Order: sequence, then C-alpha cells, then structure tokens
Amino acid sequence: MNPKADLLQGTLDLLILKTLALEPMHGWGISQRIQQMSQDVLQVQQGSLYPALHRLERRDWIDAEWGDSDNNRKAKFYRLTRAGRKQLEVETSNWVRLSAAVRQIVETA
Amino acid sequence: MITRKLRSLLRKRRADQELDAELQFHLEKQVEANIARGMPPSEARAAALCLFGGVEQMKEECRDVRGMALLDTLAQDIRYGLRMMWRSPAFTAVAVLSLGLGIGANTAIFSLINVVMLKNLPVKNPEQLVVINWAAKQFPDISHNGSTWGRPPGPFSGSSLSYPAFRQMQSQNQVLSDMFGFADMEQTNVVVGGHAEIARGQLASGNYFSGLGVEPVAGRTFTAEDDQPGAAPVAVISFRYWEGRFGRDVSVIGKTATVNGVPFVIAGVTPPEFFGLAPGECPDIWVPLSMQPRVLPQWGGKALSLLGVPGEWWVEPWGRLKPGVTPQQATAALSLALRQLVTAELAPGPEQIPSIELRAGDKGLRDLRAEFSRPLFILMSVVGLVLLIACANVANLLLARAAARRKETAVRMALGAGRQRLIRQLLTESFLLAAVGGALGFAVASRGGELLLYLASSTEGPPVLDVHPDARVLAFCTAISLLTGLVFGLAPALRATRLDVSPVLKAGLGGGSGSSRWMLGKALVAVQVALSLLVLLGASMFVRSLQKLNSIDLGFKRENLLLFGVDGTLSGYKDEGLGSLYQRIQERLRAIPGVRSVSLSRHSLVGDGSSQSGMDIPGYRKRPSERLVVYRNSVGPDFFETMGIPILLGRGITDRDNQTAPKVVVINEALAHRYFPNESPLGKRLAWHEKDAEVVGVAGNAKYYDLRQEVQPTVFEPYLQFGIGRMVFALRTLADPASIVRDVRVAIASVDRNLPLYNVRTQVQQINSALIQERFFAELTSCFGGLALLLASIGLYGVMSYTVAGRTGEIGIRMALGAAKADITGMVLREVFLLMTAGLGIGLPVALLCMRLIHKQLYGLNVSDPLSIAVAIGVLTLVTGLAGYLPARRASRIDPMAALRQE
Repeated sequence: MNPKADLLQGTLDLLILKTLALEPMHGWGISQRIQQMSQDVLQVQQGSLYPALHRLERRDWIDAEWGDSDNNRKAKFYRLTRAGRKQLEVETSNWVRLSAAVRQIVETA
Repeated sequence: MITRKLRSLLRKRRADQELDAELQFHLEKQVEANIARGMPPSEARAAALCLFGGVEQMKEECRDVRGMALLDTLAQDIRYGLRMMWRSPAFTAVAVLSLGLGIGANTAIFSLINVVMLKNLPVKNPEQLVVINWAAKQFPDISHNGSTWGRPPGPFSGSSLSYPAFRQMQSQNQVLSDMFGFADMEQTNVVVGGHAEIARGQLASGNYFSGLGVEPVAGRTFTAEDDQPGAAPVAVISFRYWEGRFGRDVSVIGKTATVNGVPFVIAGVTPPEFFGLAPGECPDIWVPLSMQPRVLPQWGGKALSLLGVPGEWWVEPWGRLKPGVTPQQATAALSLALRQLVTAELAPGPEQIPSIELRAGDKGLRDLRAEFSRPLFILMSVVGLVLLIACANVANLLLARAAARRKETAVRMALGAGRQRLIRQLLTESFLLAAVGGALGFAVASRGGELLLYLASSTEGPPVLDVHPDARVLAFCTAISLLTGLVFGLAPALRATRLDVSPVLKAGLGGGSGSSRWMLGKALVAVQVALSLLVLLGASMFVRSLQKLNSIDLGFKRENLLLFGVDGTLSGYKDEGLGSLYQRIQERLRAIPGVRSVSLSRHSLVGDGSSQSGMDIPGYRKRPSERLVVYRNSVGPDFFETMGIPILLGRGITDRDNQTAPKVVVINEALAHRYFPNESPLGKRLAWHEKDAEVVGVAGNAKYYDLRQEVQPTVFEPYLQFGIGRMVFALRTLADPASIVRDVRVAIASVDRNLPLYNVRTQVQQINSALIQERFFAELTSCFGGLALLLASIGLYGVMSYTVAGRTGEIGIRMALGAAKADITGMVLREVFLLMTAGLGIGLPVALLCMRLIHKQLYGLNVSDPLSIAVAIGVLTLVTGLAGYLPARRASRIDPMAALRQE
C-alpha cells in the first residue's frame, strides 16, 4: 500500500476547501484529487470524507448540487461558496503560519 | 402542525436517500478504479466495500453532522420509548406508580411549604409592606392585646399600639405611603336573616384594603369616611364567607348583617385569593376600627371604649414604605414618634420606652411559619427519602430490563449505533417514565394538598390556606421529575451500553454471566433497605411519641364529654343578666336525656388557653424576690363532678356560690402541696387584685393548659363571683356525646334564638386537636413509612426474582445432584438476609444519627428508644423477608429436568 500520513485534526477541511477552489467536484473526485496532488501520501478515508463534507455544507462553506457525471450517472457535486472562499483564506494563512512554526522547531532543534 | 411534521419527515427521508445515492456512486467509482487496476470484478467490489468501512456508522455520523439530527433522533427516541413503555405494561405501571407516588408526596409537601413559607401575600407590591412592632427593655404599664413575647433577659416586644397613638402616627408620619391597622375580634356573632352564626371577625382601619391594594370582587371596600366616628356602619366580607354562607349571591351587597348586636350594611366582598394577613386564619367579616365601642363593648372583660385610652394597646399596625425610604429611616422616624407619644401620655420609666422594630410584611404574619417550618422541613426530608427509594426501584427495573435487552443493544452497537446515541436513547426512555410519573405525581399532589390540610385540621376545621398548585409548585414538580429521570436513568444507561459486543452475540440467548451484573442491583436494594429503615424508624418514633402523649394521666375523664362555647356578651347580655342566662342554659341542658351532668368554665381543659395571675397568700413566707403566680379558671357548679376530677378535701363549687354568697375558691393538689405543705388549706385565704376568698376545697391534679406540662398550682373560682364573659359548657353524657348535639342546639335556642353556640367538639377531639402536629407527623410518616416499605419490597422481590431466573440452570443441576427443596429455599433466603443485613448495617447508624435531628419533636422518648428500633427493624425484616421468600419458593419449585433442558 501507499505510504500514508495521518491527517492533522482540521486539515481535512482545508484540503477539501482547497480542492473545491479549483472547480466543483463530487466526493469521489475530491478524494482522488487529494490523493493525486499529495502524490499518494494523503489518502482520505470515506469514513471521514463524507461527514466532513456534510459538516462544511452545514456551515455554508460549500454548496451541493446533483449533476451528471461521466456516462450520465447522477452525482452530488460540491462547490465553494463565498463564505467558503473566505474561510479558505483564513485556514490557508493559519496553516502557513502553523507549518512554518513547526518547521522552525523541527529544523533548529 | 401535522403538515410541518410531515414535511420534516419527508425532508429527512430525502436526505437519507441522497446520502445513499452519494455513497453508492462513490462505491461504484471505487469498483471501477479497482477494475481499471486489473482486479476481477467480483474481487474489485469486495475490496471496495472493505475500503469503505462501516457504512451505517458513517451514515449515522453524517446524520449527526446535519444537526437537525438531534431533534429528529429525539422524536425517534420518544417514539421508540413510548413503544417500549406500551409493550411492557407491567414494568411501566410499577415504574410510573412508584415515581408518581414519590413525586406526588414531594410536590404535596412542597405546595404546603410554598403556601406557608414562600408565597407572597396576594396584594399590590407586597415587598413594600412592613409589620410595625415595638420592643422595650421593660414591659410598659399598658394592657396589650395582640401577640407579645419576651425573650428573657432580652427586651419585651409587642405587635399593637393604642388607638390614639395609631391615629397620630398614621396622620403624621412622613415615611409610609400608607399606615393601616387591624384588630382580631375572635368569635363574632353574625346574625343574617334571623339566623345566628359565629364567624371570625376583624376590625380594620378605613385604609386597610386600599393600603394593601385589595380590590373587591363585588361592591366596595372601606373608605376613610367609613372609619369616622358616627359614620353609617358598613362591613366587608371575605370571598370564602360569601361563598359558604351566601352562595356567592350578589344581592347580599346592601343587606344587613347584625354583628354582635349592631346592624351593619354589607358593602363588598374581598377577592378569592385574599386570606387576610396571617396565613391559615382567614377573617370572615371586617368592620371599621372606630366601631370597637359598639361591637366589642367588653374587650378583655372591660366594658369601655378603647378609642381614647392611651394605656390600651390593641391596634396592630402595618405600613407601606414610601418609595426611596429605607427600613432604617422608617424605623428611626416611627420610633421617635412613638417615644414622644408614650412619654407624653404614660410617663414610662427609662427602660419602658419602646422603639419600633419593622419586619418584612411581604409574606404575611409569621406565626404559622414559625410553627410549621421545622415540621415541614422534616416531612420534606422524609418524602425526599421515599423518592430516592422509588428512584432506586426504577433504576433496578431498568437494570433488569437492560439485561433482557443486552442482545438488542449489542446488535445495535454492531450495526454502528454510537454509545452516546444509545445512552441518549435510554435516557430518553427514563425521562419519559419520569415525565409520566411526574404528571401522575402532580395529579396526586393537587388532591393531596387538601388532604394534608384536612389532616392538619383542628376542631375549628382545617387551616384556611390556598394549596392549589401554582407556577412555583409546577416548576418544582417538573424539576424533581427531570432530576429523578437523571438519577435513576443514568447508571443503568451507562452500564447497559458498556458491553463487549461479540461475546453477547455469540452467547445465543444473551442471558449469560451472572453475579457481577447484579452487584449494582443488589447494592441498590441494600440502600433501599437502609433508607426504609430510616423512614420507618422515624415513623415508629412519632407513633410512640403520640402514644405516650395519649396515655398521659390527665387527672380527669376525657371520654363522653361534649364541649361548646357560648358568648352572651355578643348578644347584649351583661353582668347579672349574663349570669342568669348561663344558669338558665345549665338548667335546660341538665334536662336533656342522656346527660349525666353539666358545667361550664372560662377555659375548658387542655388546648383551650388559660388564665394566670399574681396572688398573695396571707401568712405564706415568700423567699426574697419570689412572685406567686398561679393558674386560674372560672368554673360553674358541678365542674369537678362533670370533668371527673376527684375532690380530695372539703367541697367543690355549687349552685350556692353566687354573687351574694361569700367568695370561695377551690385549689388543686399542686397548690396545696406547694404553699400549704404541712397544714390543711381549708379555711385559709387567698388574695389578688384587692379581692380575697376562702379555700373551701382541694381538687386532684388535672392537666389544664398544656398536656406536656406538669400540673401547676391552680385556683378554681366560681364564675358568678369573679367576672363572667364567654364560657365553655361541658356535658358529661351516658353515650356518644355527638348524638345529643341536636338536643343541645334546641335547648339553647329555647333560651334565646339569637344565641349561637360555637366550636362544638368532644373533649377527645379537643385533646387530639392540641396534639395536631404530633398526629400529623405520626400519620404522615407512617404513610410514608408504609410507602417506603412497599417500594423496597418490590425492589427486593424484583432483584431476587431476576437472580433466581438467571440461575435456573445452576439450581437445576443442584437439584439433579440431590439438593432438597429446603436447601434451595435456604440458599436464596440466605442471599435475601445478606442483603437485608447489609441494608440494616448501613441504615441503623445513619438512622440513629438522624433521630437526633428530630428529638425536639418527640415526647418522653430517648432518641435511641429500643422499642421503636425493634419495631422498625421487625417490620422491615418481616415484610422484606416475605418479599424475598416468594422468589425463594419459586426457586425451590424449579423442575430440574426442564431447567437442564433449557441450558
């Protein structure tokens, strides 16, 4: 199996928002995209993905819409809302700060 | 309502369907991906499912996240809970009944506490009201009517002012927006339409109702003009009196009611919630304060108007603080005014100058509260214990049911139900039970409150209190219902959901491992036994205490004695006329068949008040600073014969001891013993208030004022020689005294039909009435003790039944191996007694400790009274033993073959 890394608490939300910032996508697509972009380091478990999607939807950071997928199958597509875009900025800057801080500690100590 | 429900239901179904579709899509994508990677289709599907993990669990999580889940699941839980309740009616009935009785008892006692101690007077802005009392280091030289009390060596206090002082302070003070006053008239003769009846009357100042902010429901209340000398006499009646005597007839307004011989026009009716200012004592009729000389010409035996007399203090003042005035400022201002008035008119000594003490008036006068706060607190604790026992019962039932539902629980957990979710479900069921129990309890309490009042009634009927549950009682009931739901529901819920799924599912029937599961249940039963012991011990102490009080040697015969009051002064008789009226009545009563003898006295014995006064005995050498104070009673001829008090020396009072005869007295043994220790008292003289009289007889000691008190030195004087007022007649009858009440009324009416008799009771009833608190305690705690015992027995029975059922197989093997029925019974009973002993072991020390808290309420008993303890333990052992014997017998009748086959 691929080398996996545990997702830090709360980072899944950031990854989902970031993925959706590019284009609307269904759940399967999101999980595949995260896996691809992380070069198979991050694998999102369905068990966490769907509750997270519903959570974000409930906070109005993403919208959902049923649309046609390939070969005419119905799929639920998620799209970033205006509030979601703002939240993405907040979480991105948080993440940058946090990762910079962690790196500093890890590399100097 | 229904459409909204339906819509939410539809929405929920759609959301669930969408989730299914979404996950289905994901799964299919995964399968495709697997196939694309070169897996055979069947394998690809399995791998995808494996990767997917617990679908139901994830769905549940998604539902939770959706938030509305909480309400949805609540509705679901409630539906499910109701179904469970419906499906096991026996369980539900026992649980709801236990809780209903427990919560009902608590709510009923609380509604009494509410009405006696917590409720504000139903008047305008009650928090502004103040009761105006005074205190002085030495009691001033006044005659005081109202409540007085002295706390030696502390200051003396009083609750009333003289009429001139009241009027002056009323008109001149700057600190009260209203100052109003009243005075109790006690028994008042009210004649309406030719029919005489005794009512509770009160004199009230013209601004009494307006100052309180009490609006009439019919007619009008007093105005300041009504209270002027020479004004047309008008009266106000209470709602209760209006309802009871006039059937709420509005035409009664404007009619004439003759109060103590003076015609008054009924002006209005007070609202139903207004019960006067003292909880428990509702006046029936109010007349203006300035009417005192006409309606009460003989106040305290003095025939005069008190309106202009500075030394007669009888008006009880209340006030309403002006906005912005603090009680301290008001106290200072009123004290100054009172000091000036008293100094000017009474020339008091420096220690006798009173100063004002203000008390909060928002909850009315406090007599009832002071009397009942401790008893109510004790009763509240007792019903609290009963409720705890009920909770333990329901918890035990729930544990038992959780055991029966282990398999169900395991299946649900295996299917992905979260533990929290299951706990929520089980707690919802508990709260449902509590809610139904609470509703039942509220219904019980609504009726129970009046029952409690009835139990607390004296010979004059139950105390007048409005015990209908109000918002506060409802809130209390709801709160304790929720609390009990949590108390009995939490432990079983936590326990039921803490299980390892796979062994339960594998174990087929889901019965399985025994002993540890029952430890909690058994511990609960032991606690129940301990708590029951506490309640039972309290009950047996109160019952024993009452028995002791009832078996006190009274010194007279209490059986077959009829008592009733007659007050000729209220119908205009005085002096000689009054005496001959009473003599004529006595003659008529003697002629009634079945009456052995008739007498009359100022106070009847035990529980009807007493008179006391200072006395001199010429020739008796007093110790320095000794003041002779004796009890006195004015009695008629045949008093000692009628009461059954023996005459030890000389003679009793006879018909010949009238106004013209030489003054004589009879003393009791206690007086003879103390003041004439070594000589015959016959022929000696006693002196008081410039009168003196010869001792002509010595009577045996008999209880007078108080049952518990040692018999005090007492003087009996002929009523014709020492001032007459209202009297209590006593009839010694051959048979049941109640059977001649009709004849008595006819006899009195034949003397004067405007002469009402009041407070008709037997001597036994009067003594019971004096023991009202003790009886109240004994009856209620016995009731609650029985309830506690019943609940604990159900608990023990339930636990032992389940234990036996769980050990059917084991018992079958034992019997197959040759154990006799007696062995099996013994085995189960041993366990029962172990539980009981554990309960008693915990309970007894705690109970004995708690008895110290109630020892003030006990008469003639040690807090560790061995008989009470023996009775409590005996009853508890017997009843719970029986409850444990039934399952034991069932165990011994198990058919070994059937049991083994089942295994």
